[in-house]
Amino acid sequence: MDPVSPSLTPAMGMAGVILIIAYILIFSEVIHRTLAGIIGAVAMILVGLVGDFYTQEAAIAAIDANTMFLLMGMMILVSLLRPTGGFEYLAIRMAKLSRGSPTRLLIYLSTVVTLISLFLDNVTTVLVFAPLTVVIARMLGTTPVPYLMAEALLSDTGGVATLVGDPPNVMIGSAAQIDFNQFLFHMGPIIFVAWFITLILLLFLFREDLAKPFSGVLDLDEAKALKDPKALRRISFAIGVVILLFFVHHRFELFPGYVAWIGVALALALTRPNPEETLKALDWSVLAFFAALFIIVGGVQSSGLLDLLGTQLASIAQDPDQILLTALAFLWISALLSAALDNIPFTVTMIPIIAHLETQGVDVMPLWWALAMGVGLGGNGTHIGSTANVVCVAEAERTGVPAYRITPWIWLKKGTPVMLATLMVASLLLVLFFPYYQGG
Amino acid sequence: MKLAHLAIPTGVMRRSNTLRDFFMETARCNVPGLPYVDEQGRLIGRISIREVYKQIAVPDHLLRLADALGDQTDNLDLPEIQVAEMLALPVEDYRLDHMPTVSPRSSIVKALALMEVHNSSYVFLLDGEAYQGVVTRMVIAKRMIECVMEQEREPPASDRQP
Repeated sequence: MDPVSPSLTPAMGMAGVILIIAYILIFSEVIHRTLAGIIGAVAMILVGLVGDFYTQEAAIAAIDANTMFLLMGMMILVSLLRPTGGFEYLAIRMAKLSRGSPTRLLIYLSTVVTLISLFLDNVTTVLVFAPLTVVIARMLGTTPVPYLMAEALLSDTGGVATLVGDPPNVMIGSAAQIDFNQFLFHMGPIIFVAWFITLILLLFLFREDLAKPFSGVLDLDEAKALKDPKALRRISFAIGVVILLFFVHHRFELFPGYVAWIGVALALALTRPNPEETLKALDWSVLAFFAALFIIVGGVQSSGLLDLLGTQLASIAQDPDQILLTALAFLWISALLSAALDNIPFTVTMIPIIAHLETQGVDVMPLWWALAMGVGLGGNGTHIGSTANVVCVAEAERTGVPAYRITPWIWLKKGTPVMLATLMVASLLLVLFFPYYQGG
Repeated sequence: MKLAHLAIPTGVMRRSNTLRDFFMETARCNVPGLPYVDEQGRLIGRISIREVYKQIAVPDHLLRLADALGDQTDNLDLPEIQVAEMLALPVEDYRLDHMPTVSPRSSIVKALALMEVHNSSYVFLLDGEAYQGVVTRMVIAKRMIECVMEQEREPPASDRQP
């Protein structure tokens, strides 16, 4: 390994400037983040070639194929599942099971969304459930706000528990070589507690809305919502195989990305959809954004800048007595930044820094867990902290009813306390059980 | 078959019009859309009844559960705004910028293709800059039936006097 330069070099400067400009464009939303990412990636390669610190081969190698294939595979499975009406069926069933109780409706809908978010991308899950929630709430003559916010907050929280629950976890797991079970056994307990705290808090914060009985009738036939029961059964079977394989993928030395595509191959063989329609439904913009970010950060890493930053951090983190404090600092800084900014670029940037710390003899396992929890739980802090939040706010806005708008102030009153509570719980549990979260 | 004489003459919508004016004119002429003109009378857009309904009555989030809806949907009926208030809204808020147009010399096939591509059930007939009317699928269907009936009324060529 090349020794780390003790000071800033021209290559680091050039790479750093490209990174900063790209991130400003991404966070400011002057242009779409994917466009900003692509332009930034191309600029980084160009600057790298000119500055002789980043090659085209290195740029391609910087793209984490496991992450990309895992995300793509799960997206395909969801795109196959959506037209079957399975999500609509579930939403209506949960609404009917609540039997006229606003509290039960909130718990059931949020629990279903969380369970799905453990294995399928929580943004897609919320994208599907949010409009259904609005219809159900309006039919029942109640405000959809508590249910929408609960779905966003609880799916964000729950998604932190598994390797595949949200994109940052996928990237962290891939970089840190953490398998599915390891992730679940370490994150699961903390997130389980955090999830319950979130639920209880939400039931308390929305107690006035939830105390009002429904004034309408839920006249929905879930059987009619099912467009293709046969396809639903087959695709559910394929997803079931994927989930089972996630639990044992490390035993067979299978990448999680490959496991997802086993499910895709099975689902395609069983349902034989039109491949053009299936692939058209993928969120290519998100995939391109991820690839672009990997290239941009790869360039910064190639320049040595991230290693320089990591070396500075190592002087603090190397002290075994300081590692817990370092982990807590990671947790809270990640969370606060994720509340305000897109957590994906932050995660992609932190990964090589933490990886470099490991080469400096630092026990980085606590930092990986802290990063995963921070970027996952921090997204609950503001109405723009996570894409799921943005989706729910937009859906509430679309009702056209002023009383149903989820304003930043409403999120500050209801969502931010949830984020702070879950971070405090996570911090406390991390402190209490720290040896379990250490490496070696 | 050409489109000349196939258009349904209608009025146009302007900034001063409301949805009430729009609904009255579309109902009178039995057309699904009307052109929107500026102060100089130039066509700059259209008002589509489908788009108006989408915005005021059939939001996107309802579509996913449309098949599952029962009959007790009072709470989903037109949102918290009375119909009279709704009709008082200015048409300008519902203006669509894109308006597929054809000329009197255009063929029926062109009109149908434009409707298909733009997901519309009508096109506007313009003779140069002058607005002639609305051509709809039903109008085209009626014209096709008239053609067939004319052909059926004509005696066969062998029976005609030399």
